[in-house]
Parts: sequence; C-alpha cells; structure tokens
Amino acid sequence: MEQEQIFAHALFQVGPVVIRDTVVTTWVVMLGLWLGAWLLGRRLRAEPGLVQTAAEGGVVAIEDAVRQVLPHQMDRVLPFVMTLWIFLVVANLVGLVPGLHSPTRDPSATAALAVAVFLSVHWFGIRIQGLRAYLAHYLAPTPILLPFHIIGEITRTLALAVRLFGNMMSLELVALLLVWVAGLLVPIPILMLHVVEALVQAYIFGMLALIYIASAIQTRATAPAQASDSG
Amino acid sequence: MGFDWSTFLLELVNFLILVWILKRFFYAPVRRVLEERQARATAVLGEASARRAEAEQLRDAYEARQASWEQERGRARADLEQELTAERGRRLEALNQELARETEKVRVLAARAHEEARRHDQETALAQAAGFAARLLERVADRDLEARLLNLVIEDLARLPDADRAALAPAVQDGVGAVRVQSAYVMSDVQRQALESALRGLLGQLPRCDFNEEPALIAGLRIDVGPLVMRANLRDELRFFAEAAR
Repeated sequence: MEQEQIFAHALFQVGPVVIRDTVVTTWVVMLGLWLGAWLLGRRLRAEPGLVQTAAEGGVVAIEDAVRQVLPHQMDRVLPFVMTLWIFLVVANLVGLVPGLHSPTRDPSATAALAVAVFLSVHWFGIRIQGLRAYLAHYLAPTPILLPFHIIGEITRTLALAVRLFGNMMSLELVALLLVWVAGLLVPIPILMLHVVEALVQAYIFGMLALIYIASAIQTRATAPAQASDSG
Repeated sequence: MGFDWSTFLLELVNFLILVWILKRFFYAPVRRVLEERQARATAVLGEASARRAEAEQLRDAYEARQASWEQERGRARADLEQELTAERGRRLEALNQELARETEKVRVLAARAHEEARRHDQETALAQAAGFAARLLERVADRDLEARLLNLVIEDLARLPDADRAALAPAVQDGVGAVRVQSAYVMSDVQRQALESALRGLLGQLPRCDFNEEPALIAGLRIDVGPLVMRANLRDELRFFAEAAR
C-alpha cells in the first residue's frame, strides 16, 4: 500500500489512456495556478497589495534572470521558462501536502518536461535563427561532430529528466523512511531540506532549460546573431 | 514506477496548456500592470524633469532678470547720484549767487542806509546850521542890513543879462502884471522909489507894485515878477545854502 503511494500508480483508465495520480496531481496544480492567476488578474491595482507585490516581484526576478542570459529574446522565451519554474516549484512542493505526491517523482512526468525543453530548444532556435542556420550549427565546427551533437542533445535531455526524477524520488523516499523510523516530529528538519531541495531542483531545471535555449539561439557568431535579434 | 506513455503525453500536453494559461492569466496581466506603472513612473519622471527644466528655466530667467534689475538699479543709482550731484551743484551755485546778490543787496542797502544817514545827518546839520544861522541873523539883522540888501538888489537889476530882461518883459506887458515885493521890514518911501526906479529901468515901464512886510525873511526882499521870483533876503539865502550843501 505504501509502495503504491510513493510510486506513481494508475487511478483510472479512459479507453486506452491510463490516468495516473501524477496526471491528476498535475491537473490539481494547473487548476490551482489558473485560479490563483485568475483571481490575481482580477485584483491587479496600481497600488499593489501584498499578494500582488509578491507576484510582481516574482515576475521581475524571473525577467531579470532571463534577461541576463538572453537580453534580446527575453519576451519570446520568458513565458516558457517562467511556466517551467513556477510549475516545478509548485509540483516539487506539493508533495509536502498530506495525501498528495509530487508529480516530478514520476519519470514519465520529468521525461515529458525534458522533452518539452528539448522541443522548445529547437523551436526557439529555428524561429529565431531560421531552419538552415539552426541546423547548420550541428555541422560546426566540422560535420564530423554531428553525431556527438545529436548524442549531446539526447543525453542532456535524458539527464534533465533523470536528475529531477532521481532527486525528487529520493526526497520522497527519505521523508517516508524517516516517518517510518522516527515518527512524525523528527522529519520536520528533513522536510525543510525537502523544501530547499525542491526549490533548488526547480531552479536547476529551469536554468538548464534557459541555458540550452540560449545556446541554441546563440550558437552562430555573436555579432550576426545580435544583429538579427535587434532587427 | 515505470515509464508510462499516457502519462508522458498527458504531462506534455498539460505543460503546454499551463504555458498558455500562465501567459494568458498571469504573465500578461502582471506585465501590463508593471508596464503601466513604469509608464506612469516614466511620465511622472518626465513631468518632473519638465517641471525641473521649467523651474531651472524660470530660475535662470529670474536670475537674469534680477541681474538686469541690479544693473538697472545700479545705473539708476548712478544716474540719481549724478543728478543729485548736478542738482547739488546747481543749487549750491544758485545759493552762492543768491548769497552774493543778498550780500550785494545788503551791502547796497547798508551803503544806502549809510548814505541816507549821512544825508540825514547832513540835512539835520544843515537844518540846525540854518536854524542857528537864522537865529543868529535874526538877532543881528536890522534895517541897515536890509537897506544894504536893497542896494545890492538894485545893482543886480541894473546888471541883469538881456535874456533875463526878455523873459521878464511878458510878465508886465500891457500893464496887466503886478510886481509883488516882500520885505522883512517896512520899506521907506525912498527905498520904494529907488526900487521902482530900478524896475522901470529894467522893464521899460513901471508896473504896479504891491509892497508887503514878511518878517520871516529876517532881512532883505523877495520880488515876484510874473513867474519869476527874485530872492534877496537872508531866509532864502540860508535855504539856498542848505540846498546847495546837499
């Protein structure tokens, strides 16, 4: 029973589609984020309150982080990276809620996020540089390196998925083991570590995604790229 | 724990939907509010800059105007001082002239007063001298003196110039005029005849003669012939002396 709760498991099935608790939790998170964003959007004022100030501070902080890496393409990349950070923070921390488990403990979910990053890298690269220019960077500095580029794309995507999955799953297991061994009060410091680790993993995943996207956009010579960006 | 394609695809779709949701309901509204606030802040800063520029412009204009006022005040003060100096000079010159005129006037008035006093003293002295002489002569005068004066008159009538003779002729023409003879003492008939004889020799005819006694004459005669008066008495002589001394 406990193993059923720790690891992702199917809740129900719609035709050939199996619905796991990971997906349901993700829907809950999405619903919560949508409700929070909707309520916040209705109450935005020129003179911000506490919640609005926190939201504006978060957006400005993420903008600054993205601007430091991609100063000329911030507007295009920001929604994706910001969604990645916000979702991962909430998804990693939702495991602290009794009865819920972090979706990121499921390798299917982390793989989906890693694939989303993989696709976004190519999407933004092609949108900004053009198809020929983007594909040409796989042949640079010499076509002999093409296989290594392809292997690098696959492995870093796989590393993204496995890193997040491994860390979050280990946190869940450690927390569960401590509860089993030491009762309810002792794991509280470990749960604080869980919070820190969840935030760190979200930051790492989002920052790596941002760096991958930036590397895809800025693989060509810097000057022409910047010229095309500014244009 | 194994990989599940359904979960993978659903999570992928969920994430893409979440990207749209957050972009539509979170990022865009917050970004719009931030941009509006930034725009307001920029507008406020711009307005503040404009007001500052305007204030600096006003300050510069005020300082320039103040400097102009200072220069104008300096010029006005210099003009005023120059005008005051000129006015002071003019007034001082006028005062000096007035003072000179007043000094001259005082000097003239003093001289005139001095002359007047001198003349008054002289007149007083002459009057007193005439009075003293008259009182003296009144005491020493007598018929003999008057007789000698009559003789002098008769001699003078005989030596009278022709011009005076011609002037006396119309007064007694046609016997209309009369000769009035005043004397301090009553003249004797001899004296009257001698005088009438002298007048006949002078006028060519004997006019009517009225003889009167006038003691104020002290001694001597006063003869009125028409418009002419011949004075040969001490009173008139004293008056002549006094008037001639003036």
